[in-house]
Amino acid sequence: MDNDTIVTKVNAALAEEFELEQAALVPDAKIRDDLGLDSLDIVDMVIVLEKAFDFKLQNKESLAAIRTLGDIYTFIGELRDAGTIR
Amino acid sequence: MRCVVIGSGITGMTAALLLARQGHGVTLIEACDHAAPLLRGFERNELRFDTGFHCGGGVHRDGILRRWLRVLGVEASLEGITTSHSDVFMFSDGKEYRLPSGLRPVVAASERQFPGSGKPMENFLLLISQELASSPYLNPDIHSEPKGILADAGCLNDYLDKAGFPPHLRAMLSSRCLLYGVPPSLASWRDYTLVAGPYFQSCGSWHGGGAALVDALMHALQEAGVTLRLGCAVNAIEADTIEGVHSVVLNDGTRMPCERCFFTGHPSQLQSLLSHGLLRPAYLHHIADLPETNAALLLFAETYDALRDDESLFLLPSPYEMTTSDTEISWAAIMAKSSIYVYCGRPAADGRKPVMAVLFIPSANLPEGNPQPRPSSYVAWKRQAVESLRLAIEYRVPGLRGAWRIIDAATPLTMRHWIYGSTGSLYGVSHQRTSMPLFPSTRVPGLFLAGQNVLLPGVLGGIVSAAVAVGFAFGHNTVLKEFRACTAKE
Ligand SMILES: Cc1cc2nc3c(=O)[nH]c(=O)nc-3n(C[C@H](O)[C@H](O)[C@H](O)COP(=O)(O)OP(=O)(O)OC[C@H]3O[C@@H](n4cnc5c(N)ncnc54)[C@H](O)[C@@H]3O)c2cc1C
Repeated sequence: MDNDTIVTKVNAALAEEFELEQAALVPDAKIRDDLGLDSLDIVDMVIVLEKAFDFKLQNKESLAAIRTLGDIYTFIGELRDAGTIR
Repeated sequence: MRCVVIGSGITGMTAALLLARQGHGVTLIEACDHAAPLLRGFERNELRFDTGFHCGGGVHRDGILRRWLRVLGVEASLEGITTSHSDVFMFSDGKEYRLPSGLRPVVAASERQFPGSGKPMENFLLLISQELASSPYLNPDIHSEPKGILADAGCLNDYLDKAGFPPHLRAMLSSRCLLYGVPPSLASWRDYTLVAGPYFQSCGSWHGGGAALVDALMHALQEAGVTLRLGCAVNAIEADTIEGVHSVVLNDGTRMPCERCFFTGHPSQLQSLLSHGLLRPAYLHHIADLPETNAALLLFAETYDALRDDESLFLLPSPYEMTTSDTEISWAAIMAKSSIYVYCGRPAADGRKPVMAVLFIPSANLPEGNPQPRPSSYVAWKRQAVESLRLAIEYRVPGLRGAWRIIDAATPLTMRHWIYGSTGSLYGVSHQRTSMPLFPSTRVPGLFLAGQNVLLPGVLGGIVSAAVAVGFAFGHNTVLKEFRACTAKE
């Protein structure tokens, strides 16, 4: 899966599941301040991503570092590089 | 503030009590026509059967459950508290072991039955105690905020692997996962320590079991001025995203205004309780995808002296036969390789003792919903299942042959009938390491979730979950102040 596909898939899933505007979904967007997703939503977001990319997150603490939408792309990219996501 | 608590199980009663003590006006609403149907149990043939409480962990004087019972003001009403139940483990290969209650006795029993295991056991129990001592809701000396929902201490299996216990001992420790219905291979270390941990410290009960606890709590609720509405299901929680909750609507049409609402039923109800648009699709999907614990078949029987008072029997497959993919069990494999839990209670005045047996079963072949009258295929299945389970237990505990009498049985349909909104699973949501838990707060201001589906099953799980939810609503210190101030009576 290439990086563009990751971006498209992440954006589509978040727009749908959190009722966000596509236009707001830029890499620099801060999850909390710009997208309005708080710590409650992060838990739901994991499930959205797990479904969209068909994987099961093994260590929830790895999410702590995520601040921006770009961090999510990177996070998914790393799972792809590690072979967790195909 | 006006608070409505939905559901009068151990969680709802605890939440109502804590809220009323803080000076709020509290209404506790229960769909069933008596309070705490699960915890109260039932009576047949003039014998009282417990359902939701047989024994608890941490019941010794400084134990965590005991402390919470004291905080709730019900400790003094519970008579005949015992703290030294022992568990018997009978394997299908004929091996039989025991684990007493109390940290030092457990280490000694471990070393005696499995030479060389004492030291690793001591270490294992130390790790459990450390984890238990790290939460402000379990340890009065901790003054920090509770750990975040994403805190992860790894999985149970890693800890068991590291300890290097012999297979039977390992299986005995794993079998405590039966107490909350999560397959050991999917259990998180943290949840295991919270549910099973206190049982190592002390395991006990009191006269009258669950019903005595319900009576004591009902009395405390009355004293605290809580209004109780029985036989009323909540049909709707009315709210908007800015102002939050403003009322709940009962099935008789009554609208009850409130500013805070604590829901303790199964979260699958939330989709229909709240109007469209209040919860985002992501959250509704999260709820819909939460794994459930397995369904179970429960037998209720009486015996005179085939089993000891207050004794738990874990009938386990040989550790070499345990399936690793224990999420789905086939009916055929059940009798050969199942784990069965049997509990014998205290004798009634005439010497008869109540016995309950639990077997996890796949619910795939059972009818949907709660059909009345029951389909004949189901009635035939139930008769056959009860008979098979009786034979399986007698095969493994030969002393029961001709020495006990089955009085009643419960299936997942019984659970659905008995507990409003139950899916029929034994313990509601299954708390697995890789599943995302629900948070006590929700996106709807003023709406909080608590109970076995949110934190963990068990009487302690329900009490702590209620306390945490009240903490989220009004500040952790409003609850923990009382918890910390409460000291043991001499
Ligand atoms: C067979 C069995 C044995 C057990 N043994 C033990 C044991 O020995 N020790 C131990 O610690 N734990 C034990 N447990 C676990 C423990 O009983 C439960 O985890 C605990 O009682 C759950 O409490 P709760 O308040 O979270 O849920 P519940 O007791 O299920 O309470 C929820 C209540 O809400 C009501 N409700 C739901 N929706 C609505 C609505 N919309 N409107 C109005 N009312 C509603 C329901 O009717 C129900 O009464 C056992 C459980 C079972 C099933």
